[in-house]
Amino acid sequence: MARALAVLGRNASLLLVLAAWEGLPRLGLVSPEILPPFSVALANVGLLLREGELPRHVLFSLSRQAAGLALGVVVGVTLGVLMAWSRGVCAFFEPILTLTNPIPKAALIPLFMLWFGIGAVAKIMLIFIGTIIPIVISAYHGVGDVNPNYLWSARAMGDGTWRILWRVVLPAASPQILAGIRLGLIVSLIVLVGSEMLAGREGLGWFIAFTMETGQYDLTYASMLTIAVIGFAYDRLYLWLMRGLLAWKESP
Amino acid sequence: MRVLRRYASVLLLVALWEAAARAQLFNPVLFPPASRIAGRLVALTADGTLLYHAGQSLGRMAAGFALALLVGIPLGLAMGRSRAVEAFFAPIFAFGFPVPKIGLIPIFLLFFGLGHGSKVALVFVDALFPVVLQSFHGAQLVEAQLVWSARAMGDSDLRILRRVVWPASLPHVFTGIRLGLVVALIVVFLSEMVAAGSGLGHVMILAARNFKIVEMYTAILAIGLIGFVLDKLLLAIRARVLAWTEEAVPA
Repeated sequence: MARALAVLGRNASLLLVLAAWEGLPRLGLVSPEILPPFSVALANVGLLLREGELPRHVLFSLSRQAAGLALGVVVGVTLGVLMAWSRGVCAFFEPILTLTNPIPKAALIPLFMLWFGIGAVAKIMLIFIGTIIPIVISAYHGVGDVNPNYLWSARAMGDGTWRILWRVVLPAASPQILAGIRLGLIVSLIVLVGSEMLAGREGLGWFIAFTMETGQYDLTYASMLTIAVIGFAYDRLYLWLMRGLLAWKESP
Repeated sequence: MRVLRRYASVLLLVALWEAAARAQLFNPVLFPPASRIAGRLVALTADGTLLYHAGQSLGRMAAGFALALLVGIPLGLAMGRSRAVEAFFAPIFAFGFPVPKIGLIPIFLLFFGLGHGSKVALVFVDALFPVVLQSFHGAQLVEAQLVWSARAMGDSDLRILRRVVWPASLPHVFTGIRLGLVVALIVVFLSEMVAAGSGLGHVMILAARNFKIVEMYTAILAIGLIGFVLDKLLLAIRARVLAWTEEAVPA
């Protein structure tokens, strides 16, 4: 009981927001048409979950997000390592990254719609492009910052390049790489929801836009609540995983 | 000449694009030559169309972003220096940071309408998070010795805030501003694509839907240029303001 109270106390501001969400429409200060009370939104989430509409869209969205992010991680880390190890690769890609990094990736949504259609491929490619840049940059800096003494020691002990990469370089660079992937994760959700809102016929972003356009605001709120919780839970899960992976470090 | 060599790979890609488009290696409708896109960029800038829409987008972004800085920096610094303020606000920012706020755009449309209001509000909310979190971080990391020394010399709290905490937090504050700028640009163009009657995002999605491909590329190019110039501008300001620290030039 005391612990529960402490948790409530620590999250007073969040509770205040939820109380306002519940109270304002109930008291008639905001029209319940525009803002259905929190409890109603929550009940609608339950309804949508049972009817199978929401899980389908969530699954669509998350599978695309996972595919795009996985592609971004694999290609991004590889490219970052290559850039840190080879001056030629760095000279080729570094200016491209410098020029493209500040471009808002949302600008590519219409382009990718034309190139790849409005289905899953376009979304996966968009997420890939959006996530790869922070991941490449973090891997490049992470690998570049590895203490050269480690490399020399490993080489002196007769380790080959692959072994050094796997056993020395990637672990030493992992804090920066994992932090870059977290940025990529957040970008991937933005790009995913944005692109689904603009094109396609499925996914959580599409569902939000569709219910909004057809005036089913109570369902819109339920799906917005879902995307908020997914974003938060995903990030927490990742942080937990990251702490686990970095547990061997003295101060992660 | 040095610039040309530095960006050799980019020039190479543009040249490849131009050559491939001229040779019609790909669908010529989807891949117009780079020179045609650049030509259209010049033409649309000259007749004022692009300037008008860029002005709409930038105005919305600037208003929301300025509000985010005005609210976010003081709030973040206060969270970093006061346990009570931190305890109250930290959960909101911890929860809201990873939430893709673009998904919440219906709320903004319902409350602020289809015009400027909803975009300004969305940019404000979205940019607020990185600005607050980095300012908070910066103020929290101010070395305690610096504050103690100032206090020992008889400085008031307000003076300490102005002369010690503020300059010591500035590098982090700038990181927050830069992250916030990236987010603000993404959000303003995305929200214009979803619902607006003007702005570069609107121009772009309209061109794509009507299959005016060159126009669409032109809008993308304009947005890219805006993002690039604003980022460079911010880095230049940062280098000037932080000239006294070792962190003036970011990684």
